[in-house]
Amino acid sequence: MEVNDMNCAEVKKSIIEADGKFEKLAVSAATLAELNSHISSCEKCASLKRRMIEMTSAIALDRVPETPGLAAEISRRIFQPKQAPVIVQSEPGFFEKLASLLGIGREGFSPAFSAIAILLVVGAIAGYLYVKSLDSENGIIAVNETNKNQINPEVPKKQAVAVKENIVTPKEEQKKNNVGIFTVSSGKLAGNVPADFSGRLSVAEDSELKFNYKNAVNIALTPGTRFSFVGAGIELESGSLSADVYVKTKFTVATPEAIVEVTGTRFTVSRTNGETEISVTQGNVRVTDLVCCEVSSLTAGCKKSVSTKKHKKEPLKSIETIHETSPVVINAVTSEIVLHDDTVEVKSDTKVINLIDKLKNDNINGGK
Amino acid sequence: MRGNSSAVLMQNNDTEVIEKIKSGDNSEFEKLITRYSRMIFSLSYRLLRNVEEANDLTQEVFFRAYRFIDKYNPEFKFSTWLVRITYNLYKDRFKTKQVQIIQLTHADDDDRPEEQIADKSAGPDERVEKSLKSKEIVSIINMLPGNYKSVIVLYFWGDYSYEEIAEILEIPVGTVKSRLKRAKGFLLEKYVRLLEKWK
Repeated sequence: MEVNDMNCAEVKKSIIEADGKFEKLAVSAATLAELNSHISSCEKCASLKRRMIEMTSAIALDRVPETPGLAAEISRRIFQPKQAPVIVQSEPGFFEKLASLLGIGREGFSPAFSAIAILLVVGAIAGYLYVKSLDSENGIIAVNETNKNQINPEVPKKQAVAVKENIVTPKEEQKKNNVGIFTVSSGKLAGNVPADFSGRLSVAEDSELKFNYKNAVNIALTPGTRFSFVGAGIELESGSLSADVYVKTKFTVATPEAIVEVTGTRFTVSRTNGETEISVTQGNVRVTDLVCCEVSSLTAGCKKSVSTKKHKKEPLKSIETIHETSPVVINAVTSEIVLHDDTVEVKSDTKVINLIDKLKNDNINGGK
Repeated sequence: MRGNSSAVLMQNNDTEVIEKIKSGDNSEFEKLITRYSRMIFSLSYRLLRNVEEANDLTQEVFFRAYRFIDKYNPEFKFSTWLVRITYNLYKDRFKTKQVQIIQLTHADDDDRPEEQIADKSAGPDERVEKSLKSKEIVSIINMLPGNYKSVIVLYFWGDYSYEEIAEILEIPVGTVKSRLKRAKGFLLEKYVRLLEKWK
């Protein structure tokens, strides 16, 4: 530090560093003299120096409470041998009784652990049996020879087995591959139905096909409707589909002109001669028209027709109120419609298909 | 420690005691407890400002020291090692506790602790004033961020040198100096304002 350059800021630094006592500083005698000289001529710095000394004294005044016996307490904690825990034999609880009934003693795993383990094992077995029974009820294709024969006697055994592998664990597969679970309640299909229900299917002319999707959507297809299962939904080629989404779930109905993504509503989608008509009974439907780049909302009681030809250069067709024409009339909450130009984009990417015994029993193969 | 002439002697004594403990005479550890428990308690209390918590921390420090005595490096002073354990345990507690953090470089915040203090104590006599000043300064120290508070506590109450503080906190000496400078500057500023309020 240059003596001649000393100013209040530098003196303040020294005051702080030395706690107001310059003699503590490791500085030259000349610097010390200059500091003292500055203090004697600068009341502000002199005051600050006094305050610093006062403050340091005030800090030193702080007292720590007495803690008699602290050392003894520490010694006791360190050196006192740990006493063996006292085990109190209590009345057996529920788990202990259960474990005892099942022949598991106190010496092995804890009774609660053992009982829970047993309950889990029993639950797993029950679950397995339940799933097996569901497979049987829901008519998972080719689960066994009998079912396989009912669906399509001509399906080779290898193919049937392959299908079985795809759907043997419906819930897991569904999660993994976004596979939909369709359960037919009535109706029949026309023509030869592939063993895995892939490709285009047709509802028999003399039958309305009704089925359920994941215990969340009731679906009805009018006679002659041509469709296919696609991922978590249905691709509608022609005919009419009515859906009642009574539990919020993802369900998609696709036509060449539109994709109807449903999260919970009741609606009808019909397609004839390259035109798709969507009608909503209750709730709101959002329509995204990718041709016109417009989004509109369909409210309950409204319908909308979508045609790629009409939409080429025209604005979105106005929403008009419809009269009740859909075969299924029910309540609705919300739904979403996404229109694509000439293509159908299906967001799910895997095969669907589980049909129940009902479907098989309705003589699907001989539907026409 | 700064200006402590008996430190070297005590360190030699500690080394002997520790050698005995390491060779199996665990009862020798009681000497270390007797010698340093008050010091560690004082440090713990200054950091925590709670007798029970400080008591608990002190016990934990000695328990750890006893358990890990084999890991003690005789190159360092035993007291420094204990203080380091204290600081590390304090840091663990500090992490889990919500601590009010204040800025060390502020200019015009309105919610200042000394303003609340000033209203409470009009016209104290000199003795009471000193006591109040001490309490208020301590309360301001107590509000400092943990890394500044540790430095201040070790400097003012632990009487450690910059090098020892750096060793305990495992930070460079330069960092110790800069933290001390900032913390002391902050405290001085607060103290001056406090006095102005009291006038």
